[in-house]
Amino acid sequence: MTAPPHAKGHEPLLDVRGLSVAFPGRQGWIPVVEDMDVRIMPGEVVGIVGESGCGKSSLALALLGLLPRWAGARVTGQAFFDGAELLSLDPKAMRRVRGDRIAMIPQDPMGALNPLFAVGSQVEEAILAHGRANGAQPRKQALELLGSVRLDDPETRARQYPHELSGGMRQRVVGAIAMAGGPDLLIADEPTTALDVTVQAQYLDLLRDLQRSRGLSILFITHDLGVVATLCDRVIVMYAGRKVEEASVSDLFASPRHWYTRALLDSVPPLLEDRDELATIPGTPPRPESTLAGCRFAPRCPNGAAKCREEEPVLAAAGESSVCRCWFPLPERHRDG
Amino acid sequence: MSRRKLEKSTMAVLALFGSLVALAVVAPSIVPHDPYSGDLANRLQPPAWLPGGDFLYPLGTDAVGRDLLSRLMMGARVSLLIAVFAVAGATLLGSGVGIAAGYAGGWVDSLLMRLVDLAISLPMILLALLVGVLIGPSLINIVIIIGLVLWAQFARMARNETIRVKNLAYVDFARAAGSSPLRIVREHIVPNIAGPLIVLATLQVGTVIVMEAALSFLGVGVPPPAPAWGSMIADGRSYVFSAWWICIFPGVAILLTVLVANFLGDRLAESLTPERHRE
Amino acid sequence: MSAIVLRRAGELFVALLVMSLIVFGLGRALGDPAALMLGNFATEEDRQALTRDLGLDRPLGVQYLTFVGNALRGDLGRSISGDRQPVMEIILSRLPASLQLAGAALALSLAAGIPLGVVAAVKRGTWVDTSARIFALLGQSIPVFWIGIVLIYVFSVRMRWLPTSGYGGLEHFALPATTMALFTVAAITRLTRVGMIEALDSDYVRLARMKGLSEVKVIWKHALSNSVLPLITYLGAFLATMITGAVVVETIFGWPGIGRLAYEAILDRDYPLMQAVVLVMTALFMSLNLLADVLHVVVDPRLRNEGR
Repeated sequence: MTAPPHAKGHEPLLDVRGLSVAFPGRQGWIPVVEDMDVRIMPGEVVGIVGESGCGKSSLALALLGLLPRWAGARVTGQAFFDGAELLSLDPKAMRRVRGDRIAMIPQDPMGALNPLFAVGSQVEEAILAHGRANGAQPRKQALELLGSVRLDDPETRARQYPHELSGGMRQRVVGAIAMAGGPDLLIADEPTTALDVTVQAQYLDLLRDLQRSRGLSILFITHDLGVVATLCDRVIVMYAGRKVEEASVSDLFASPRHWYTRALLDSVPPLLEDRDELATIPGTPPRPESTLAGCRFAPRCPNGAAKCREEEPVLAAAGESSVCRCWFPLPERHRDG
Repeated sequence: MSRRKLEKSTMAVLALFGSLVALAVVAPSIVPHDPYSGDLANRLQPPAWLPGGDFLYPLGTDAVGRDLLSRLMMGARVSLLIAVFAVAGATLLGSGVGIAAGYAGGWVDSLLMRLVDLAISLPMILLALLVGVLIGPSLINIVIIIGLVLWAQFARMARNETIRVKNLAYVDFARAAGSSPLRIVREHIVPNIAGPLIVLATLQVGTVIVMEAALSFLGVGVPPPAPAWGSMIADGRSYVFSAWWICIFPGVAILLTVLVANFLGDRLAESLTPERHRE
Repeated sequence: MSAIVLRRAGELFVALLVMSLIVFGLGRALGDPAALMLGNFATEEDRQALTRDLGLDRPLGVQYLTFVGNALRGDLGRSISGDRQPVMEIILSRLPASLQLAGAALALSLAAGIPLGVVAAVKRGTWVDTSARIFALLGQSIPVFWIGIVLIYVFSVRMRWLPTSGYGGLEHFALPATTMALFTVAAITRLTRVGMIEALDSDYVRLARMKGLSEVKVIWKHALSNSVLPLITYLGAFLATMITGAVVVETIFGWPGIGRLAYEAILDRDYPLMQAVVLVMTALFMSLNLLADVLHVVVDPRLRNEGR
């Protein structure tokens, strides 16, 4: 366990500039992530929201150098983490960063745990990997970790195998493994997608507590706006591999500037209203291989203008600390209006 | 592999296989020499490119002066004939049993599958050897023996596939509409399970060729003087020190044929069962 | 798990009965066994004496039951050749050699096949991968008896490194074990490669990498442990292939095992010996499959239904 890192003034913990990920295709490179900037301050929780396939997972994997080697991905841009540039690290150095400074929680806890080894030993392995064993006590430390992620009866659970635990329990184990190295930054890739709603709430509680007690920074990837509202400080909205809006959570929910963001918010049925139909966004996101001119969202945007279809918009400031990629952003809605 | 590359390679393999078959069919007419009798004066001649060799006998001659190339060509005929008939027989028998078991279900299925499991679990070569020795070697007998040893695999696959297809929506529909079982089997089930069965059959061609060669090698396969690759290897064994070509070339022939058959099966697997073929 | 064992044991017993019926029936149905055994030069007297001696004049059903009864007591009759030894003794004396050979071949296949498969998967797409796959394809297409002869030619005749045949020390094991292992090495390479590719792409391997584990640990501990599972399923089949391949390999290399014994017995029409060897080999074959099933359950915690 590390003490929370003291904020070095306004230095970001993670500073990603112009990150792009492309995969080789039959006729050239297929972009999956384009020119992403992400900045996370120490102790901050930043959410990345988008539909499946918009590139958010690839972004996370690229940061940790975990894109499958044989896929031949091309990663460009820079990612500064606490001074070091991640994308140019050699494999050995990267390995030292993983788990120790930056940890990741994947989406599917069942697949993430090795089915052949008991859960406790997998946590121990993480502890040993970072040389954080105090003397010969990795077993004890593992049990403590399992307790800290609120797994009931850690002694018994540690001896069980992944398939014997429920989804929620497995996700906690994965959380324990992630915390084992005492990281400063946690990348959570849709960690609650595979969980039941009630279990989701408990898990988010856990994450929030961990974040507060350790001053953890979190990069939270999800497609669920409700989760974003609960946990995040700032939000980045991604569409077709690009950032289309970024704002603080309160600003985004109160006054979305991008049409896509508003459509996303609209599609969440309100709790107290009775609706006859569920609002959906017509159409589907463009496939990465397609080469559209103009704004990527234009085909589905209720506001499609000629300029949108011809020229791709650039990110422009849209308020105090927000940006938006749109030629005709929605007007700012004032809080009292 | 890209689409076009795949299609090209499938064509290539089909062409190869086709030429092998063609060779087998026309062999008797195009053999340069008589494969059954030899000229003792020319016995044990090495292949043409070695000293002492002659382009008259391109691959050399055996212990009684028979031209190796001619014997290899005739051997192709014998091997492919046996392989095709044995596999066809096993496929028909196996599929019949499998479809019946899969479609009928219940105790019929259990009973037949027990039988199939039993047949699969018996050691093939021993059985073939036993029967071969006891009923005497002849072309027909070998086809029967190998077929009997092989059918169980087809039965199992046919049964599993039938069950899978049986539960498809339109089969249920046909049954609800009152079609007779026979008709359903013929029109719906057979076309759907044909793919994987054909793949299995093609792959088994290679297995059968090796099996027949092994049996011939052990002396219970194709009876002399018919040239069979396996018996040629057996004959050449005693001369391996002095005249290696007699047993090496038939082996190469077997290897190449089996490779082509396996490639073909592989390509067919990709085109006939694209959803389930994993690289 | 015990349910599986019991059921398989039952199936084994049934299979043995069926096999014995087949052997028995074939023998009796295709002509007078006594005449066949004695050959063409026997006199009528000799034939009748042998018939009475072997109890062949009794009704078939009785003969069969007697046979089964004796078999269950461990008495499988006597060989008709040589000095009429009890068949059981003959078999037991030749069994060790076969087991040693099969064991050596299996060990060789695992030792060579698994690393090859791992390397091919890790270096996927490179020439290493391609060569490994070509090798695997060849290995499964080459006829076993032929490659045995080729190996003898190359290593015994030409190079004079190894003996051509016979039973003895390590140098005698080399060629026969390699010949026997060829098909299995190829199969193991392919299976391991496929399993590893799947494992290397899996989420748990990614998590292992995320933990910051060394690549060596990721590959050899996490990925490999999961990809050998399908191998275990095939283990029984591999051993079975070796048992049946034993007939040919032992014959070529003059190996004093039960494979060659079976071949000789069949050629000699030595009925009692023939029956017994075939039954023993079948029993071995099926027991190995059973063993593989048990092993599979032991190794994969997901299959353990009882207990925890």
